[in-house]
This record gives sequence, structure tokens and C-alpha cells, in this order.
Amino acid sequence: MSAVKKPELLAPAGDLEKLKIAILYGADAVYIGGKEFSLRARASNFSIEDIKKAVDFANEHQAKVYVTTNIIAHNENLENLAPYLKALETSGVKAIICADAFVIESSKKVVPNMEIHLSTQQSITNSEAINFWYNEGVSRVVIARELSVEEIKQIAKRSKADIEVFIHGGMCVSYSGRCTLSNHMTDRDANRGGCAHSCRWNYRLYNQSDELISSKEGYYNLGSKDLMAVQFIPELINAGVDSLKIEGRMKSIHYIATVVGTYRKIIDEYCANPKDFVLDDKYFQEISRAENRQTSIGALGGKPTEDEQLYNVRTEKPTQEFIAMVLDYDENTKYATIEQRNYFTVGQACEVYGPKFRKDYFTVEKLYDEDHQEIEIARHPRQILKVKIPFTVYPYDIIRKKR
Amino acid sequence: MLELIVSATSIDFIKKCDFCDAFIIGEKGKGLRLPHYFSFNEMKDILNLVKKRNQKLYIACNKIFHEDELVDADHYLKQISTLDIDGIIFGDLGIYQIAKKYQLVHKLIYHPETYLTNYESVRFFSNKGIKRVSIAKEITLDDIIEIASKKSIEIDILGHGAVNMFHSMRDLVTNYYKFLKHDQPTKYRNESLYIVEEIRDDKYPMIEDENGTHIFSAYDMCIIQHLDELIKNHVTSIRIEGLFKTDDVLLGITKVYYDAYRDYYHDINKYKSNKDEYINRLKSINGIQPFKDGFLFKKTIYKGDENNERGKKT
Repeated sequence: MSAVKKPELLAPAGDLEKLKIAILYGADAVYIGGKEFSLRARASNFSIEDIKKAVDFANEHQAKVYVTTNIIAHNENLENLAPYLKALETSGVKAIICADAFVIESSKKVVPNMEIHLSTQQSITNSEAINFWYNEGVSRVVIARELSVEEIKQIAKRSKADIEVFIHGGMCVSYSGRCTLSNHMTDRDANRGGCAHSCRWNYRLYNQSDELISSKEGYYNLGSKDLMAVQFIPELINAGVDSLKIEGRMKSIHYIATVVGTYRKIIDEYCANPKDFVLDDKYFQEISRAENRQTSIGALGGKPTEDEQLYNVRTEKPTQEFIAMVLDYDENTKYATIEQRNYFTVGQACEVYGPKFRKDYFTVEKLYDEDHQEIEIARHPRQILKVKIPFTVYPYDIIRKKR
Repeated sequence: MLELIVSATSIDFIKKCDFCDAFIIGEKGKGLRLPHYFSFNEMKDILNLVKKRNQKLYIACNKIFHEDELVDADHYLKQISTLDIDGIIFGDLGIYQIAKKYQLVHKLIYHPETYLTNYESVRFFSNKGIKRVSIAKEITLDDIIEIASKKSIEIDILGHGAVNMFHSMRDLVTNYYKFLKHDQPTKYRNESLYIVEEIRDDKYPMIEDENGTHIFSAYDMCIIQHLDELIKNHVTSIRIEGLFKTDDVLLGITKVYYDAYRDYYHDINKYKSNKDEYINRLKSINGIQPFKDGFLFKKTIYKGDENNERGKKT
């Protein structure tokens, strides 16, 4: 029996495949973007048909689907909101995540049975502001990423609405929703899905006498490291936070599987036995398998310092560790059908990583292409291959290089 | 009548500026990005002064309040409720909740910087019993007109001055100097700085203060050539932003705007024919920052273009 209230684990999904991975690897709910009214416009957004499929899959696995409708709308974006909201409701979407007062008000009227979650774009930092929106029909508030665990504890005590907290992924260095760097520097509307991430660009800093006061060799940067809240999960659960949210609708399936799987494990283990829970290094190790950006604790430990800033980092390299995903497994022949994701060869030592933190190891000995021709090297992206694996593997299992 | 509001740089400035309609002032710890912070007693003196001159006074309580600051905010609104001021500018809806306790809702001016960009959201807040809303700086003149012409509530816009485009709670200058292992990392706190992006030439003003770090557009906003359309379509007030301005520069700007709108009310054709003259007068103010018309004629792009991640060079 659970000794503490178990929060929801909420994961992002950029497409249907990622949604399935997120749910299979332990997300209680996933959030996706529709084609309209959503930020992250470039995160392959779902059509109403896709949303229905997403909900069907989620229902089969007792998971929920939330849809982001979190733009700050301009006059010309106001039309067609009502039919869109109705279509979401008919599709079985449980909640919408919104930031614009009109979207919130409309949802309350048009789709009264759908939950309204207030997006972090409103940068809510206190319980009075939460309670304002609660009175307007908002059942959950995604609180600002500027808050410390101590503040979250206080807020959770006084909030009438449920509280959702970001635990992992990209961070705005500005109060979210209050940044228009992108608008001013590129004409792209940060609050309508066009954020150009200008805060991650390179700058030079000058004083009023036009003296360069940033380093002569390097650049001055504003950007934030990504958030990783592994060490704060027990405290957040104790604070009574209702939902723990992972950011990243544009992330890979390897990332989703790894990050979701790890937090699932931490939450389950802590809730099952809080007293004996140990924050094992294996959790950090596991996340580092898929995390290709520098991470920090954001504001959870208090006002961010230089350790939470990202200096002089131009790009992040995708990890090459994820080599294939399992499509099928034949128990009789012990051959798995897999889809290639990164270059590997015969002789590669592999780790199979599945839901519930399941791990097993094998070495690639025999490898065949789709035409049953034996090959030595898997070099084509998304190539369908057959590989001998001595133990049972399951669709959506991840095969990655053994460390 | 259009209300001409100035955020005040000093008591001296207020003494000299007897021709604008209203001032914005505020106290440290409650106001955000104000050109000057006054003590509560100073604010009472200012109130007496401006009331004698039939000017209005708005108190800015527009900071983003964290949980442990709510008690302070509550105390402050209680204090304010004893003053005969004309409005309270706020950006955090927690303040709305507290204002209800002190019967101050009818004095509230909601100024959430970026969040009011359409007429339906403006109507939503008009139904909350507040006095006025300040709409976002990043929308077009047509959008402003469409919102204001609905007449659902009094509409305030930025008229002239610094355009904030970024606010982080973080000390982004100090953090950088700590990263560089500088021996005085807080050296530039409260100092006007600017940043330049590597492929651009614009200078973006930046300041780190007790509320974190703020970055501004390379150009001040200037709407002086559009007063006719704004007034005709029921915009209630325009703000002249005192931040980064000396008393003299601010006084100079305010005077040009005052003359422009007086011209408008006396003889609209005179206003129309003088439009270039107003710009020339503004430009001739010694020490005035470069200004443009912001987004009045530039619609921001809905969604992005993934092939142009870095944006076009401006």
C-alpha cells in the first residue's frame, strides 16, 4: 500500500509513437499539441484524427491525454476556438492546458466537462494568483519554474487548485510568457508558437561607457541549463504536488523512454516505501544515457546561481547510444525484428531497456536485413533488421549500446 | 479626453511637470521596473501636490509576487487603501485577490505586460470590476484599435519609452561574473548596461536589480503620430515611460506629447499637419534614446518558420 499520495507523472509527446512510448514507459498522462492554439508549433502537432488515436491508446493503458492550447491569442486567432474545443472533448481529451483568459473562459462555457489546466506561460508564483484562476474554473495550475521547493510546499498548502510542477527538461530563463525577445529580434511571436530561443544566443555585454565588460574571448550568455529534479522528487511528493511534469515535446523516443522510465521508477519506489528510499546514483546514471544537454536544479534549490546558467555552449550533440527499437519478437526462432536508429555493427554489446526499468544484455551476433540477407553493418536510418536476442523482448523496447 | 500618464523619475520632475494628466509612482519591493522608487511618506506628499494641481496619481504594485511576499503585499494594499489615489497598477493576479479584501478592485489597472493581446481577454477582465487594462506592446495599431473600439473597459497603452522584452528572476550579470570568478560579481547591479547579439548590431538595454534581470528593445516606443486614431477609437490613456530617462529628457518628451494632444483637441488638422514636427522636436531633445513605432505596423509571425531558426538579421 502506498504510504504517501502518489502524484501523476506527466510526459510530453511530439507524435503518436512518442506518446505510446511515454505511456508504456510509465507516464500516467501525456500532453500533446494540436494544430492550432498551441505553442511549440514546430513539435509535430496532432490532427484531431491523431488525437483520437492517442486517446484510444491512452485509454487502453489507463492513461490520460491533455492538449496544449496555450497561445496568448491575437484578435485573428479567436475564431474557431469553440468548435476546436468541442472536437477535443469528443475525442476524449481529459484536459486542455491554456494561458489566455479567453481560452479559459471559452472552455468553461463550451466544454464544461473538460478540465482546464493553467499553463506555466502565466508564470504563477503565489497561491492567491492560483486561487484567482481556480475561481474561474481552472482545476490545475502548472506553477512557475521560478519556485523553490520551500515555496512550492507553502503554495501547495494554500492552493485550492491542483498543483503541477516541472521536474525535467528545457527551461525559460525569463518568467515564461513574459518574454518577447523573439518577437523583437526575429518578429516571431514567442507567445504564439514562434519562440526562436533568443535567450540561448551569444551576446556581448557593455556598460554605459561602451566598454566591453564580458569576456573578450567568449560570449555573454543568458540561457538556462535544463532542469533535472531527480533529487527533489521525494520532497515534491511530500509537499502534496499533484502532477510531476517532464518537458520536451520535441525530444526523441529514446529520451522519452529513458526519462519517463527513470522518474516512474523513482516515484514508485519512493511511494511504496518512503522511509527506506535511497536516492541511488543509478537514477542519475540512467538519465544521463539519453540526456544530451547540461542539467541543473533550476530554481528548486532557491534563486538560480551561475551553476544553473549555460555558458559558451553552442549546440548539443545527440547521443548515439540508441541503436534500435524492437518491433517484434519470435519466441521460436529467438529473432527480434528491429528498426535501426543509429549506426552499429555485428559484435556490438547491447542493453535492452524496457518499461518498468527492465534491462537485459546481449551481443549482436547475427544480423539480417529485410530481404533475409546477412549483413555486418546497420547503417541505414529506420532500416528494418532481424537480430538474434537470446531472451524475450517486446515491441517498443529500446536497444542501446552497453556502457 | 486622452489621459497622458508619466512614470516619474523624481519628486523634482513631478514638481516641474504640471501639465501631464497623471503620474505613476511606486515603492521598492512592490513596483517593478520603475524609473525611481519613492518611500510611502514621499508618495503621500506627492499625492497632496498632484491633487492640488488636479492631476491623477497611480501607484504601481506591478511586481511578480512570490508566496512569502504576499503578507507584505497585503499590508501594502491596506496602507494604500487609506490614500485618495486614482489607481493601482498590478501585473500579478494575486494582487486582485488581495484588493478584494480592501475594496480596491475598482481602482485596479491590470498591466500584465504581454498577456493582453485580444479583445476577448480584455472583455474577460472588464467583467472583473477593474478600472482599466494596459494592453501588450507587441500588437499592431489595427489590433489596438479593434480592442479599444469594443469599449468594454478603459484601455491604456505604452505611448513613449523603454519597451521591456525580457524579465528573469535570475541575477544574470552577477551569475556571469561569478562564473568568470570575478572578485566583485555584483559590481554592475542597478547599472544601465546593454547587450549586443553576435550577428546583430542593435544595442539592447539591460539592467539587473532586486527583481532580477530586465532587457529592453533597442528602440523606445513612439506613438505620437497616431494619437488621432487612438483617441478616435477610444484608447483611454497613454503612458510615457520614465525608465532610463533623466528628468529633462522625460520632461521634454512629455511636453511634445502634451502639445500634440492639445493640438489634436484644438484643431485636428493642425495636429495632422504637425506630425513630422513632433518627431523632429522629439529627436532634438538632448540625450533622447532612439525610438520607433514598435509593432504598430509589424505583425508578429504566428508559429515559426523552422528553416529560419536564427531569425532574419534585422
